[in-house]
Amino acid sequence: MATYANLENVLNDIEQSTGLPNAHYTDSTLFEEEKHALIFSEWAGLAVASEIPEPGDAKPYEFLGMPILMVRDDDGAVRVFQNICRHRGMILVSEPRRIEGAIRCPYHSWCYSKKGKLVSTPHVGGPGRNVHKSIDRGTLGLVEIRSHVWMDVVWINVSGDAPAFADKHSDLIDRWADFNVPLHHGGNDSRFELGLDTNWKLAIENYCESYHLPWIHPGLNSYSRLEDHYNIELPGLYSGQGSKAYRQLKGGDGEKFADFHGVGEKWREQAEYIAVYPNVMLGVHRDHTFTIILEPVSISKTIEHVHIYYSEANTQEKLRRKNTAQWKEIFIEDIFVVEGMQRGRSADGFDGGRFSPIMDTPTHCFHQWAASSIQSHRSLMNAAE
Amino acid sequence: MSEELNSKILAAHCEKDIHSLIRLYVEASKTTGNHDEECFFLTNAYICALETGSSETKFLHDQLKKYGREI
Ligand code: FES
Ligand SMILES: [Fe+2]
Repeated sequence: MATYANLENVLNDIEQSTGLPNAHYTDSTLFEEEKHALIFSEWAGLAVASEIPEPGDAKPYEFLGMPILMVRDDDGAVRVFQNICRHRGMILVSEPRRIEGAIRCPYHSWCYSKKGKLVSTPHVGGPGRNVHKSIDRGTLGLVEIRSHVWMDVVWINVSGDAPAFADKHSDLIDRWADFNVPLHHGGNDSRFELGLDTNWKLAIENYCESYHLPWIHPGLNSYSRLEDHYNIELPGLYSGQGSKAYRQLKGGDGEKFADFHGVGEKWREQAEYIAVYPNVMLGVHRDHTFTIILEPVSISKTIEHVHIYYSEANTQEKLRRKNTAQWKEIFIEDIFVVEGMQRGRSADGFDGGRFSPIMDTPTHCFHQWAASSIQSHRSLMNAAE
Repeated sequence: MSEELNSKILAAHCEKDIHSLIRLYVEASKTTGNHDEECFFLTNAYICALETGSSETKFLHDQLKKYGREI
């Protein structure tokens, strides 16, 4: 294996440290390494559960090249499987649809239940003979990927060995206990995608700091001034920023979205924006939340999947559209920055850049998590060789 | 099986009309004098029933099980 720049300096104290070396943004071999070290080993965001609202709804994904099927089973639970048949590895479901009965493989018609059980193997013992002693259905169910739903995000742990989601993220779950209420997806006008010519990590790095607000989002200055912001960091898990000057959106007649039920006094004028490592960016406010799932497509391409949620199912469409438009404008303002930093990573010899010891602590926190996770992955790999 | 039934089955496959396929394959299973062939068509009917969650699933499954062709 090629040797890569050592990451010790990333792990240094913020006053001395530099960011991850260029290759982590430009070299496809490192994209592949980080796929395992930073994404498959963690609880990564795959999609949102609202995309499969009813039992039987099924939606296929390619997540970092891996074919995945998300299904809502008959008991209403979200399940995530490898989207392939245990017979010859055929892709099972190619487009979103409702599974009425069983998931039938389109090749030789082996059938699986929505819970992944192999229920039939037609003609496997010859025409009209559907059993064979070597084909043990009990061991040939779909390969299930560990999943957990929180804040409507379907989090998956591909490696299967991360601590349980509720344990790993207990701090954040407690921090945002006020939002542990039904979140109502605003529907089609409350979801959109943005394609970015950048490495996924730069989207996180930009999201979690407030340092750029005055210059990139001058429109926020009036109600979200830099001095009203504070940094949020929990090493190894998440980082972001909070604002103490949140103002609710108002429609033409002064109408507002209803608050989340029981949301505490704390959130009257407060909002928080947190990047949960590796790839989910969340924002919470008294009257709405949003989720951005980053889909890393390649070393330099990322898709942001944005979803906005409210406290009740029946919100006013006009106001929702206004809110979507406002967030979209802000997220679009960030595009030239994350794409510009990506292009910047082609400058030979760039040292990863320096951090403001005051303003960049959330970004530094992310770099430290990334560097130490990559290091432990490398030492595991070396030990295995 | 008759030409007519055969072409109905092909047409139903073409249109992905799985509900009709259940009925047509059951019909086909009755036209054969050969037990293996009967089970072949019953199996196809069963798979279509399974896929669509049809109420005939249980009956077809029982039938195949009785013949030792399903578990
Ligand atoms: S590959 Fe799925 S049944 Fe053969
Ligand atoms: Fe921004």
